[in-house]
Amino acid sequence: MISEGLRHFTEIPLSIVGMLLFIVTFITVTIWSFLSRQDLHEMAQMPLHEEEISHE
Amino acid sequence: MKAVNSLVEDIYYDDDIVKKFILATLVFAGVALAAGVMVALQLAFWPMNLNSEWLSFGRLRPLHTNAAIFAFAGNAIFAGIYHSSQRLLKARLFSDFLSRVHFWGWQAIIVAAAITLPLGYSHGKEYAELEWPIDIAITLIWVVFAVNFFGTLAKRREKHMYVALWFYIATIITVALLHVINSAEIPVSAFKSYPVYAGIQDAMVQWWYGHNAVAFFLTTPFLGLMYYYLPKAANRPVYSYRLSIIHFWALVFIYIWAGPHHLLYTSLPEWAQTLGMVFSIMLWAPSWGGMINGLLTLRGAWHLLRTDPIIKFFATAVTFYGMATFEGPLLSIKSVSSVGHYTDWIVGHVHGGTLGWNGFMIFGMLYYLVPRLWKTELYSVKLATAHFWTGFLGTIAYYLSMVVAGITQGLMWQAMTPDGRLMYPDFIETVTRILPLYWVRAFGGILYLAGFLLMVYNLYRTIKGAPVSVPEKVRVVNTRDVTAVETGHRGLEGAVTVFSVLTFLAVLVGSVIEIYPTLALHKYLPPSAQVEPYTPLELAGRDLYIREGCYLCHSQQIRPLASEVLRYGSPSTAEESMYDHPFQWGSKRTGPDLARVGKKYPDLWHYRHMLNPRVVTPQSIMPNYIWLATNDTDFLVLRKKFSVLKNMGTPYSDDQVANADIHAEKQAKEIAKSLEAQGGPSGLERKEIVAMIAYLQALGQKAKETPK
Repeated sequence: MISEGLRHFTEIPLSIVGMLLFIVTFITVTIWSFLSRQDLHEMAQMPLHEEEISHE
Repeated sequence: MKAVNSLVEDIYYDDDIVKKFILATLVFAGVALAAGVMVALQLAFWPMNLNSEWLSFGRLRPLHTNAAIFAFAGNAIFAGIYHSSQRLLKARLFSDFLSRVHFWGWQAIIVAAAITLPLGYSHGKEYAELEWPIDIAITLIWVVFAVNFFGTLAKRREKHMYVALWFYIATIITVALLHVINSAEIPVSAFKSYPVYAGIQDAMVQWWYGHNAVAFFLTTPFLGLMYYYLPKAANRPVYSYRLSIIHFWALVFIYIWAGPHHLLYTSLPEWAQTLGMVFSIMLWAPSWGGMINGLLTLRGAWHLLRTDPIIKFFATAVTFYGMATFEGPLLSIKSVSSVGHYTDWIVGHVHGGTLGWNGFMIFGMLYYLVPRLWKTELYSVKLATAHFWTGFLGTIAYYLSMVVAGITQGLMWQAMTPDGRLMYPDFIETVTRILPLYWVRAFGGILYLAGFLLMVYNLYRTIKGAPVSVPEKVRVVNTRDVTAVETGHRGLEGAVTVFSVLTFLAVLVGSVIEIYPTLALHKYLPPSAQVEPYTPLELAGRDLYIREGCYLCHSQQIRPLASEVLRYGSPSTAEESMYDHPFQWGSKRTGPDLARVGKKYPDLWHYRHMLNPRVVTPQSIMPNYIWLATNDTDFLVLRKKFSVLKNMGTPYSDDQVANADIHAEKQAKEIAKSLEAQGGPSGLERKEIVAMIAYLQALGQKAKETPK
């Protein structure tokens, strides 16, 4: 079954390049996303800030 | 604006432009949905084509898709982006002038589309049918939109970009890239052009565009709207901001590779199909990241589902998004695609997404925005709830009927008897089997339209009862501390240029890896490949085929599946379409594949079939094309067409170009004589029907060694 699946990968170098790019990007972003809890909490609240109407 | 101190300012948001886009959304939603009901009825009951050149299925279907995507969803996207961006950035839009140019320019494009598409001015490429002058207008207006949006980002008072804005950035950048690359074309006349790509190159570019139109016009902006309006409506923060970071970058990187999943088992190179399949499956994860974030934002607010129609719409929209983004990867697996491709299952999948995800997100957003912008209460919550249930039932009826129809078609096409013959050798058997489901689909569409009309009435009464609008000043605090040094994604959220460049690079990677190798066509053609290009008359007929939208119901691409080879002949090869500007492989088989229909039937059969298909196939649902027998062929323009195609690499001689019209007239006389000899009418040599017959008889006949 593995060999049958692999038969579809006729352009192996390109497929590997694509896979590697994805994995590197995914890991980079995952590590990069480890921000402080306070920052994440603050950003999540952004849409909930009510507009303050100015009466001047 | 007045500064109270250096950090606090009073400003006016531009909500007038938001109101304009909302009203345009309502108008064109009506057009899009009504056109959709019309084409659905035309499939269930062919006389609904009304024997009209301008209202036949092939002319109206592109009107429906363009209206739904660019007029309905497009106007809604602009309304939501302009409303939410100002508030997230604490800044009025960059330029009132650009906002109005954007609005009126976009509506002018829509009107131009609504006029030109029924007239038959079409590229013959799905979701990119609009001809070159309108393509240029789209480019210009999109630049206006981009300048207005990025200008607002530049003058923002909030340093960090909330997640919704990332999705808007990805939309603007990628749609520009998709449109410019896919619209590369050479004009022949004011409303006719040929794409610079042909055959497998055109297929690759078209479906890179086509799938990413779904991704970056129907998904990313709506995810952005979800990230703003769902928390606002539920008064709950987004479930996981970290998840939004991960799924955003994964989504924009992976989505762009998925295009070839529309071309599985075609003559597209195997490696490209594999990449499309694998990345489509991987796409499930970041898509569901968005779904999970959306649904779990409602933690602690699920009680609102009972009472608040806005939450009903949003929660259902996100659920349909989850369904569609599971079904999509499933359909991208080659073995599943072998059943589903060309069937109504794909239509069901599309409409689960567009009606359920896009439509319901828009409706929820409109119910949220209209009372707030017009400073009043919604006229009737009960009507909004009635709209929800009507639309929901309509969507379910549409979706289920099409999935059942599609699987039925796919399995019937592939069914073989024990002795290796087709169980259903006549294509019409599958059509008649699923016809009742076409009625269910039309009913579903009518329900959806009815629900929409409830909303129009509700919002009309809401706006009518609103007080006179007075712009309100809003007090904002400038928190843009440019001296603070931040690292990681936090820093990136404050660096618009870097963020935008990284987004562009993310979408560029997949694009280059998939498209660039495909441009080297000679790599995929055997050295002996010899294909005759179309004669002038055949080209005239091909352009009629495109004008009438025949590719919307007929494919021209035989897959290397045993049942297809038995039914249609040997599988299509890359070289057979190497001079096809545009490619016409098709994506749907409402009728049979035509790749090897050439010389299968006599000329008179085609004449009778085109004028009234029921003469040769009594249960056919194909429209009558009676105008082809009365309209005259434009022979003179063939010289210019041949010249353009020769410049794009089609091997025509100078004599063929200079005398294209003379050669066409000569061939037309021969076909007209043959029709008369077979018992048909005389005097047809200048009529379009003869050109169409010439083209149909050429299909599958152009390779010098026609595969058996």
